[in-house]
Amino acid sequence: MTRTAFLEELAEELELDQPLIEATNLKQLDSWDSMAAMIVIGYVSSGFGVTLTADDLKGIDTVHSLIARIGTDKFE
Amino acid sequence: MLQQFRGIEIKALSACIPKRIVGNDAFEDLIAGKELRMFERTVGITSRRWAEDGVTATDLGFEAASILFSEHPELKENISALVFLSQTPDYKLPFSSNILQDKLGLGRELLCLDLNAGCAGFVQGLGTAFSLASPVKNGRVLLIIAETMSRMLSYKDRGTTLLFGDGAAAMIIENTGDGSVESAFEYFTDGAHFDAIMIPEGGYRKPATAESLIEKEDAAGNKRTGLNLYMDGARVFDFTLREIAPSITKILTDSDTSKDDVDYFLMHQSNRFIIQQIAAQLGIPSEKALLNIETSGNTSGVSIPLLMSEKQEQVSKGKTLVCSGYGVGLNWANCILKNQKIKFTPLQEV
Repeated sequence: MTRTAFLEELAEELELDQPLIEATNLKQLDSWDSMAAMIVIGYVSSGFGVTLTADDLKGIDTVHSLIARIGTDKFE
Repeated sequence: MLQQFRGIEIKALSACIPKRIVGNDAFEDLIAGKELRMFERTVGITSRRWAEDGVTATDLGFEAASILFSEHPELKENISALVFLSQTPDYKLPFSSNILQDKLGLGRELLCLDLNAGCAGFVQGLGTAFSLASPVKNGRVLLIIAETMSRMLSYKDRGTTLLFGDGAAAMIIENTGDGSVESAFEYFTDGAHFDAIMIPEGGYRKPATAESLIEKEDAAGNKRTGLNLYMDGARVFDFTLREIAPSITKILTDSDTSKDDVDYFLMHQSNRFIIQQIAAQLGIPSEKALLNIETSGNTSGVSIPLLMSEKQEQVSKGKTLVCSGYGVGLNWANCILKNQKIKFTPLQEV
């Protein structure tokens, strides 16, 4: 998957009104809560086969750090 | 701890739910719009059943047992133990099982036992009932699981109030000696997280006072009293994703059962997302992880027998079933039931 497609799909999953960029801090989004965290975990699990734990999420803030946790090798 | 049984069966099972349907629209002051859509997409609950005022867990449990005995009157004879499992008993003491023994017209030569167990309660209670039936020739145990979780909720706490529902199930466990019926149980606990799900006041560590009734607001804006249910959602979420799948793999290994031989996985109906994640971690097809959370909510220990009742066509005829309960304690417990030929009554509204 390209990083651009990932940003678009993640924004769609989270039902965001604004587009995401890699520098976006997910936890500073108005709509960030445990349900948003579940959606990110579910999306990453089904899209990349990577299981994120709540502990992983503690260490993730920006979309860039989420991409790093998923593994940059999984992106074109 | 691995427990294994041969010849102990769930002979019959009845379940009931209150007539009163509470849809998510009842919480529009608490959650609406996009947030509600996200809740329904992830947690998966659109409605739950709540008992009318004045109805207790023993009332629901009595109804479930009455339905069972009405359909199978022969199973009311020679019961050697009555186990009542609930977090919402009638009184702090005596046992609610004592009240049910009399109300159901059971004999006096009977072990009555209450278990204050939560979301792992079905497996814990079933293992206890199997243990009580096992040493007694033709031993027969009545296990009633009933909850009115709605009674302990703060309706101003988004972390709990949308999640829970009420219901009851009653089942007869019998030592039939049929060697083709096998089961295995494993239990786990982590008391270091006893405070992840709790009602903090009203026991003897923090007795109820006038202060206990005053609503307090937490950092997330949720309001509840010391007598309401509190749940640290993030901690519980992490626990379930970390512990449950490996523990299910362990019982499959310990009992020499391949996951491919399991017909259905009946996981505690806490959260659809969590159930689907556990199924994905186990590498099982999602259709093998049965679901009824959408219209039942989390009914704590009742959730698995309620799921069995709703899916009785699928689970009744000698199937291999894995049941997994997890929650307050923190406790988690799994069992494998092989070749059980459970007689179900139709799920009833009461």
